[in-house]
Amino acid sequence: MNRPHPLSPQGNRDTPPGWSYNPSSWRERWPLLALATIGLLAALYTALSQLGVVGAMVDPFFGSASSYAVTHSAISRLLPVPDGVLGVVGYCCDLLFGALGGRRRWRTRPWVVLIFALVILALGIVSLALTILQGAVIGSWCTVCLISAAVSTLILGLGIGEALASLQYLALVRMKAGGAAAWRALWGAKPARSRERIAPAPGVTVGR
Amino acid sequence: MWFQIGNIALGIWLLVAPGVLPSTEPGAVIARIAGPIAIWLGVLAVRTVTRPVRAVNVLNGMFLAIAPWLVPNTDALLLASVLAGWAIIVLSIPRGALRQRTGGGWWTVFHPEMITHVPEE
Repeated sequence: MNRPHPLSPQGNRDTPPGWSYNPSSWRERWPLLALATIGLLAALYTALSQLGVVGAMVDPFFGSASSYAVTHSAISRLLPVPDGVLGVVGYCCDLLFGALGGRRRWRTRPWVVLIFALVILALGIVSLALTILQGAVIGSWCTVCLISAAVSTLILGLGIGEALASLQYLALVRMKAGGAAAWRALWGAKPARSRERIAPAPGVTVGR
Repeated sequence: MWFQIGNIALGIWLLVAPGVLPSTEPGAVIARIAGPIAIWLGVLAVRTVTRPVRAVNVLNGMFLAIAPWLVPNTDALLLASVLAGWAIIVLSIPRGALRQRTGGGWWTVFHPEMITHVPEE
């Protein structure tokens, strides 16, 4: 299972061609799920505060009043739903699309990988925007919000690489078998057998 | 990695500076926009696969080098912002060591024939 692969001497057969590690391996993915859980708890706490279920959030660094100013600012009420609730939805999507699929999902489920990439990109960019607004517009800081922003940024940094593996795989399929085959590969279909392997199956010796 | 840690540290400094230095509101706003961006891009650029985003931090540094001159600002915060901007530019240009192979990087999505042939860095 873990013997070296001709095209990826530092990886195994699950490793994408040309990579030194497998971005879809559980070793790479479990930190994302752990981070997303932390983020989910932070977003839940924020949402409960914004919905009035709990009062102002506990804030050891900037004080509850500062947190309250952020979570109940005009910006947080811009959308029909408080942004804490959107954060909960976002982190749930993170957990769902981060957990779906096995350790070869860059190849077997590219659509999951790409949706996951879009979700973490959206959450990461929104976190950045909210952090900028905290300092530049609102003028107060909120520890829980900063924790959530840090978590989103880490998830984005750690998780986006998998999308590269899938995109490279789809580009390889398109190059070798055409656009229609790439479309099918996106949804998890194995590329049609041909004399040339797309990304060599285990056991195939690489030679010309 | 140390280049990106430098960027993160500069970003944190930019967030703190308006509080510890004499500052005006517009100058503080500029620092509090550029600071989180520097931190965010610095964190993303640590890993090999996302190293290219450091190019955006160069733009961020340019913004910091120019914008504080254009708004009413104190000398202290002006100096701090502009120096931080130049420092971010200088720290964001070097690529740094690539610790992993990632199939050649993002450009091979458009040139898949290069994927397994890109030499090991």
